[in-house]
Amino acid sequence: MFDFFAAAVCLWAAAYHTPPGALVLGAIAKLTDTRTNARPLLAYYSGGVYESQTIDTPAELLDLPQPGLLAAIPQGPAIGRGVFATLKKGTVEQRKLANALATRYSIDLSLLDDPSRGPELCGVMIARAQADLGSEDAAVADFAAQRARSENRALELQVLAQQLPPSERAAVDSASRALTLGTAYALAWPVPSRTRVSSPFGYRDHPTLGRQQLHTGVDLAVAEGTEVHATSGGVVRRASEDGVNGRVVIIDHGRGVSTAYCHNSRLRVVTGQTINAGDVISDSGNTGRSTGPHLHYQLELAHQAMDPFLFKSAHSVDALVLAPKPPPPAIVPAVLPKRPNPKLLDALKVSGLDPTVVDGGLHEPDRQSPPHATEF
Amino acid sequence: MATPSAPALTRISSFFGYFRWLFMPLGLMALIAVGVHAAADTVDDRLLWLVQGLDAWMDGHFARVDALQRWVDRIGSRETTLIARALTLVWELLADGVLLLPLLGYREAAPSAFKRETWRTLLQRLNQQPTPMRLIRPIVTGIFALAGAYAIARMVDGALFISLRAGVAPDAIAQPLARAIAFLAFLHVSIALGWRAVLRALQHADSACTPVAAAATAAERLALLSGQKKPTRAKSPWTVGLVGSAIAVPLALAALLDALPLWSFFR
Ligand SMILES: [Zn+2]
Repeated sequence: MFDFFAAAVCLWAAAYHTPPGALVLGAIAKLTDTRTNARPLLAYYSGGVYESQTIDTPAELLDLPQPGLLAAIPQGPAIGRGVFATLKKGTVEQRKLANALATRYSIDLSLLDDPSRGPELCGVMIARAQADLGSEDAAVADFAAQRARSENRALELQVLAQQLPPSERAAVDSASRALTLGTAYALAWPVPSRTRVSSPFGYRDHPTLGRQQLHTGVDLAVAEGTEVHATSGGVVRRASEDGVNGRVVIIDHGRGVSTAYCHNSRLRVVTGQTINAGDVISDSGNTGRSTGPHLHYQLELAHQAMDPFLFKSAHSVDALVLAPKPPPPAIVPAVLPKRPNPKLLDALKVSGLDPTVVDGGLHEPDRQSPPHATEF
Repeated sequence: MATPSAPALTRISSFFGYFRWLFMPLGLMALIAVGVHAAADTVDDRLLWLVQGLDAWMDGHFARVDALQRWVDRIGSRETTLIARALTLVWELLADGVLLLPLLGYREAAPSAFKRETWRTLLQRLNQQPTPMRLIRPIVTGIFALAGAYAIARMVDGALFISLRAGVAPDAIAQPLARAIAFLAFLHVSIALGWRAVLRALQHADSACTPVAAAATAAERLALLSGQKKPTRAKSPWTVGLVGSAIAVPLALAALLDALPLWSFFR
């Protein structure tokens, strides 16, 4: 009889926690014409916690008052904004989770929804939970945190989620959305924040194909050789060159957030390198499918390209970029030809304000793009 | 009052005993499947790095040819992640195929003529002819059994803690209680099912390595009976099952490295 229980427990675990189990459950559901709560097969691997999400752009957050004191928004308040934005979407599980946390830290439940106080209070709540439990991720799954700590594993949601029973699926989903958004809110800007945008994010008319095409990032008109800063810490997932993106750096910030920096003239990092927020990762340039010196900056949440400006609203000044840094690099003269090309000198003089400069990185070139300043 | 309950218990236990032929092989398969998945889950990140490196390398070459440039755009981070996950999934399913199918042949109540087909005789033959399959399969199965038992215990811990805490017991009680029960579950699953899976893997390897000429041995007939062994097999016992082992061994190493933090029960 004890053997039976052992076998039953094994079957339960295999059915809900392995792809073969999902296959079997799916087949049974099909045969009996019922529904199953088995996840998609590929979501059974660690990163699936973040990547099974579709992130809605939290446009309503743009109207929020800025935390004026904070330059680059610190991680805690940023996560608070992420939690707030997810609460707005209002799944019951997320709400329950947030209410439980709020009650524990004596925060007025009714204020959590308040557009002016909510993000800040969510931030306070997460910060306290972090102090208690060791990580922001742990705040959303505090039980699992104790266990993960005893295993000496990172207190990351994707680790914690493995320790939770299937019934907690919805809570994990909303927590992952909050953490993804929060991580995106904590991003700084790769170049001085007043840099002109020569081509914004979004659909634009393609001059030759005559159809709309998505521009998956923003083109920032910077002179060749401008230092490009990592907008947050992470691991370099790619530092390579190809004919489309030119010399490109892609950084994985974790929690389903990654940023790409295309058309650089020189890369200063290598694949696999761990970097901190604000580190210089490259010198901008005009490599790849590009019509002039600029930086194509791209933000992806759960592999979905997003307008970086939606997450820039949190920053009032370019603190990260203007933080104490070595004087302007000697790289600009170095890339000039022996007899300076007058056109290039012009471009340098106006310091990247030429609105016709756009790129072909991750999209087709578009010379008719109007000058566009999307600065907030 | 204890006497009337005793026959009831016996009846229940004989009821379960009657279905052992069904739930024991299924339980063994489930245990190993959980272990294999725990290992595969730790491998997928490494595969992702490989695929991304390959993608970066291919982008560098494709982009030189105009006609191929579209592929640079098309294979993005979503695609590389999907490819890496799909590869992991295929690997996991292959390993499942290699290790799980033999477990289907698990039989406890062998006819008395085969009774002496035990650990002792199996290990004797392993000692006489330590072929890769005889050595590797039981060890790999054992590792996955432990990793599976550990993952299952962790799930028991989580489910128990969350239901205990829902108004029944304060954290101070629920936490150690859930963990103690989870540890018992780990021991129980590894002892009740783990060693049986290892024994069955050894049996299967043994019968696969036994030449056809010796078909009169008990193991051979047992294997024939359970449908595990096709009567015609002329392969050398030293090379048999190498492909399957090559699929399973890296995953077992990953399980050993990353999926078996046993000490965590005692922290
Ligand atoms: Zn662009």
